Amino acid sequence: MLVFVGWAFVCAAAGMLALTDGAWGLAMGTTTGMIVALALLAHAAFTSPEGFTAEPRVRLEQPRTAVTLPDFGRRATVFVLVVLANLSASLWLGVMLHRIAITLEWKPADALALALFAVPVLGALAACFQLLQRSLLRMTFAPLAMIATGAVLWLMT
Amino acid sequence: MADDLTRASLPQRALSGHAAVGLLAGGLIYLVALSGMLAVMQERWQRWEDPHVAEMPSASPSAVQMALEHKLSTDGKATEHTYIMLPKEGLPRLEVMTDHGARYYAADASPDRPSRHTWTDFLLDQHYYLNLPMTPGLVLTGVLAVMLLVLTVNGVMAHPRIFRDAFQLRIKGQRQLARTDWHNRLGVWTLPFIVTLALTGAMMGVGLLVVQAVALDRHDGDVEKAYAPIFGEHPAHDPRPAPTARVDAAMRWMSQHHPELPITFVAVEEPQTAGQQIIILADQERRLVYAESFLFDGDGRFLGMVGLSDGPLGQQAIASIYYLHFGAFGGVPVLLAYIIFGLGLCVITGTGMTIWLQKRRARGLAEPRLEAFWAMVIWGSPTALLLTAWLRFVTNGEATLAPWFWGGLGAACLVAVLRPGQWIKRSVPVVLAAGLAVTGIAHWAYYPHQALDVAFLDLGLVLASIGIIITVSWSRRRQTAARNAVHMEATPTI
Repeated sequence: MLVFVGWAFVCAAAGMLALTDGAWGLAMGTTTGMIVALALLAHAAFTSPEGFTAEPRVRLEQPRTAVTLPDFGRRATVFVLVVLANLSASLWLGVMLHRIAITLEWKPADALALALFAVPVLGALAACFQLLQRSLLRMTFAPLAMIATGAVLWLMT
Repeated sequence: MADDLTRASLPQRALSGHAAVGLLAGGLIYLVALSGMLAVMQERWQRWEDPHVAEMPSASPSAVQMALEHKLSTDGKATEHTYIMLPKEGLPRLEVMTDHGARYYAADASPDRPSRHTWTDFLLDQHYYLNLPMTPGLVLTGVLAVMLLVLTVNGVMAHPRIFRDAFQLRIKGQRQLARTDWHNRLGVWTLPFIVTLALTGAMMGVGLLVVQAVALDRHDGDVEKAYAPIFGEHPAHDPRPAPTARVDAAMRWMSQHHPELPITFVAVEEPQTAGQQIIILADQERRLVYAESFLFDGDGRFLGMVGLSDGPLGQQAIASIYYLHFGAFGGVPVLLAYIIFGLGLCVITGTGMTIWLQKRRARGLAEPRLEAFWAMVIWGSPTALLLTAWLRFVTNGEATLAPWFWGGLGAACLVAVLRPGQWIKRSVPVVLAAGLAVTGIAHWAYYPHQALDVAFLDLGLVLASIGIIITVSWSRRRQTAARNAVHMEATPTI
């Protein structure tokens, strides 16, 4: 309960700072909050009880499975999907978001900011989704979804 | 492995992805975090590496005008851009830069020495581009920032007891447990910082591709036109000769109409041509935007404002990225906080890979060469940075530092891989600690009359040295205690 009250206070303070001093106030408050948290953490570290220091038992050297060509291929494909495919797909969707924002008569600066913000966020979210998947096929869904959404926006403009 | 993953819970799968991304990008993220932590103090480092330059609290408009005219006349050839750094809190120097080099000036506009902040520039190049050519380097660091964002998200997802364990830091328990606690707790409590850093870094890096793509889509590939909604239009090109731009008149206009806004930077685009334009950047108190741009013609007549501080929300947001990324929005206290958070990010990155390696070791799949490589990256990178600083002083700023850094670190990593062992963790931190202390003391002794806030960097180096010694000693004591505990456990009791 106390934890939630504490978090409620933190959120209220952040809200007040944002209202009085805008983004600058929020940034200052967050920075101060993190410093206070780290100080509390340092205190927790120094007062932590002496624990069991023995290192866990190490298993005997296990036989290793050699990296086979299909295994290497799978890893390379994961890299291509998570880094290159996502980057290209999020870039495509970002530019299309820019285009639709201009069509909707957003200010050019807002449209550009939207694209600049969207590309890394979409790329990161897509990568997070992919890294939770079990198969390469399911991993392709994220970039394909971005490409498809971008295509729909393209058709709309 | 695939079967295990199929049965795994969401936190386990998130952890698996977290480890994969960490393995892929951990080393480079560490280097960018390390150079970024130091780059927070870039203005002080610039003064630290060249302390004899004249310093002043402010420069008069006529002195700035004379300095500009002197630089352009001594260059003797045309330049497309001229940048004038005006004295400010962190960097109280007057510096004029053209396409043909940079020079400092005294308060009365008499020429001082040519600018030589090669180490600071090298450090910034490492942070921005990993010392690669600008475009591929910036895109690479941008992608690394996206990876950091991914690590943050799946790190939180892999941590189901994030609130319950918020203040649990068992540094006196098993070393692997302590390492994990450091990694998780620092990661959680610096989360807003890491997300801000990653997002702003990604927007700067990957943003280059975004703007180029938007330029191709809407402006026939003209990147300047794509940037115009944020930073303003480039002046119309008119190459007919003209007298030097009246920067002094523009500065006087500023002091009459906006006396509350300190001027930090003046740019003259296409100087000494009929199309020249003066851009004055004025600092905004209690704002995240890095400045407001005031535009003037060559005679110093006010043309308008770009709108970084009061334009559309998107423009203000983009103009806030730089200050947020480098912690330049709240003076020295925020800079110090950013150094602490940056150090925290280095610890998070360093412990992350070590946790993974130790887990493998516990499973009987030790990777001694990879462990040695990682230890060398962790301790060798700051040591290599320190050596480049010495190289800068020895060669008086003439040496190109990037090949020395990468060559030195690469060679050290190669040696570590070929000869893995405990010698790396035993010797390299000691070399680093000794080097930091010697550098701090030698610099302070060699430049005893430097400004106080620059002298604090020397103190910082010595304190960092002491911090490393304490950390390493503590770690060795824990290691010995762990060995003794194992020994006690193995000794039969009567």
